Amino acid sequence: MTGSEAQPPEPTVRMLYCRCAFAQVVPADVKSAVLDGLAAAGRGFEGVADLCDMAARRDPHLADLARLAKEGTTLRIAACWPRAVRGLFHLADSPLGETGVEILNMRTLPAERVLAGMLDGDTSAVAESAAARDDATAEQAAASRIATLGKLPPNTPLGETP
Amino acid sequence: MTTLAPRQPRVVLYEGSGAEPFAGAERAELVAAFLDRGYSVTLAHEGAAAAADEATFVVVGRFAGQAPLVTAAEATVAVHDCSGRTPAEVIGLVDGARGNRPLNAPGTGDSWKPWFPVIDPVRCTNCMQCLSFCLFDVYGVDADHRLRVENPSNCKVNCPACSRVCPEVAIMFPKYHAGPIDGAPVSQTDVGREKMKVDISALLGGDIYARLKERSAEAKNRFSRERSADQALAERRRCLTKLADAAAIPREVLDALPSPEEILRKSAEAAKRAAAALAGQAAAEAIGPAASSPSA
Ligand code: SF4
Ligand code: SF4
Repeated sequence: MTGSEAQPPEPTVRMLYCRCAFAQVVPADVKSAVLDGLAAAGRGFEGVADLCDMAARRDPHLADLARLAKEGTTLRIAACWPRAVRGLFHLADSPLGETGVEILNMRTLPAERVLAGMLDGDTSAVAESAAARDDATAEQAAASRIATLGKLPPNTPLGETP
Repeated sequence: MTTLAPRQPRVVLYEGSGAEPFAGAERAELVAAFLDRGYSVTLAHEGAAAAADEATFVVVGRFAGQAPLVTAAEATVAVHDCSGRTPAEVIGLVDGARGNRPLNAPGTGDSWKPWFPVIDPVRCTNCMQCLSFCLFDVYGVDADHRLRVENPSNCKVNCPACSRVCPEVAIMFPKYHAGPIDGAPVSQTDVGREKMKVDISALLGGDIYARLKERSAEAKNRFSRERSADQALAERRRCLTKLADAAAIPREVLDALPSPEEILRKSAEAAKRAAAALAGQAAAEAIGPAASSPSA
C-alpha cells in the first residue's frame, strides 16, 4: 500500500427494467428507447413484463433484489413514480431501504435522462424522477374545480359540473 | 378472483463465456418480444446457472453447437443454441419450451391486468377506512394490525374508488392516468381534494353506498313488479350514472356489485374487521410502552 487512502470498491450495480406491458401509462417511445439503450450498452440487466404483476404475486425475486440493495449493491430500476415502485416492493413484503436504490421514472423523463441514470448513475436524473410534474396549469384547474364544487347546491347534476 | 402463480416464467438470454453475443438490435428485439409476451428476462453476462432461478425454464444463447447443461434450483433448464436462428425462430423456441407453465400474457383474452391499490407506507396512518369501504376483501391486516393489501387480484380492474376514501392520500393505483393516484408526489392541492370527496358525497345526498343501496333497491322493486330483467338493468344503469361520474368508478364495476342485501352484509363484515384491527392497534399501543418499560 502507498500512503494514499485505499478507495472503496465500486458498488455492484443491478439494473431492472419494467416494461409496463399491461398498460399504456409509460409512453411507448420512452420505454422502447430505454430498452434499446440498455440492450446496446452491452451490460447485463433484468427485464420484467410488469412490476405491478410481480408485486401482486409477492414474487420472491423482489425480496432478493431488496436484500441485495441493503447489502451494498446499487439497484437501479427503470419504471414509473418512485413512490409507486417503493409501495409495490412494500406490498410484496420486500420493502426497499432508503439507500442503495435509484428509481428512474419513465412516465415523466425522456429516455436519455432515464438512460443517464441507469447506465451512468446520474443522480440528478434520479432526483428528477421523484419531482412533481411541471404542470402548474393542471394544478390550477384542479384547484378551481374543487372551489366550484364546494359552492354548488346539493343535488346539482354532476354532469353539469365544470 | 384470479389465482396467481408465485412467478412469471423467466427466459435467460446468455452472452457469457462460451457464447457469442447477440447483435445489438436483435438483443433489444428479443428482450422486448419476451417482455411483451409476459415473460421475465435476464440478459446474463455471468454464469447462466447463477442467473437462473426456479422460475427460469429456458436459456438461449449463441453457443455454436456447444449448449451447456444448466440446472436451476428445482429443475433442469432447457438450453437452446440459437446460432443462425432469426429472432422469430428464437421466440418460437421459447414459447415451445414453456410447455404448460402458466403465463399471464398481456393482451390475451384470459390475462389479468395487474390493477390493485398500493399503499404508501409513509403516508398511511392505519385508520382502516379503506378496509371498511372495500366490498371485495382486497384489504386485510397483518399480524401487527396494520393495513395490508391482502388479495390484490380481487380488486376491480380500473376502479380507483377506495383511493377516494383515504384521508391521507396514501392509496395509489400505479396504472391510473393521473396524479397523485398514479404515485406522483402528493401536493397540498391533492390533500385539499379530499374536501372535494366530501363535497361529492354531499352532492349525492350522503354516503355513497347508502345511495347505491337505495338506487339498487328501487331497481330491484321495479324488477319484481315488471318482471323485466332488461328494464331493471336499464334502470340500474341510469341510476348509477351519477355515482360513476362522481367517483370515477367504472360502470361495469357498479353493475357487477352484489345485491343490496349482500352489500349491507359485506360492509358490516368489513367494518367489523376494521374495528377489530383498530382495537388491536389500541391494545398493542397500550401494552407496548408497559412491556418495554424497565419496571414491567
Ligand atoms: S411499476 Fe409502474 S411502470 Fe411498472 S408495471 Fe407498474 S405501473 Fe407500469
Ligand atoms: S384509508 Fe388511507 S390512511 Fe387509512 S388505512 Fe387506508 S390507506 Fe391507510
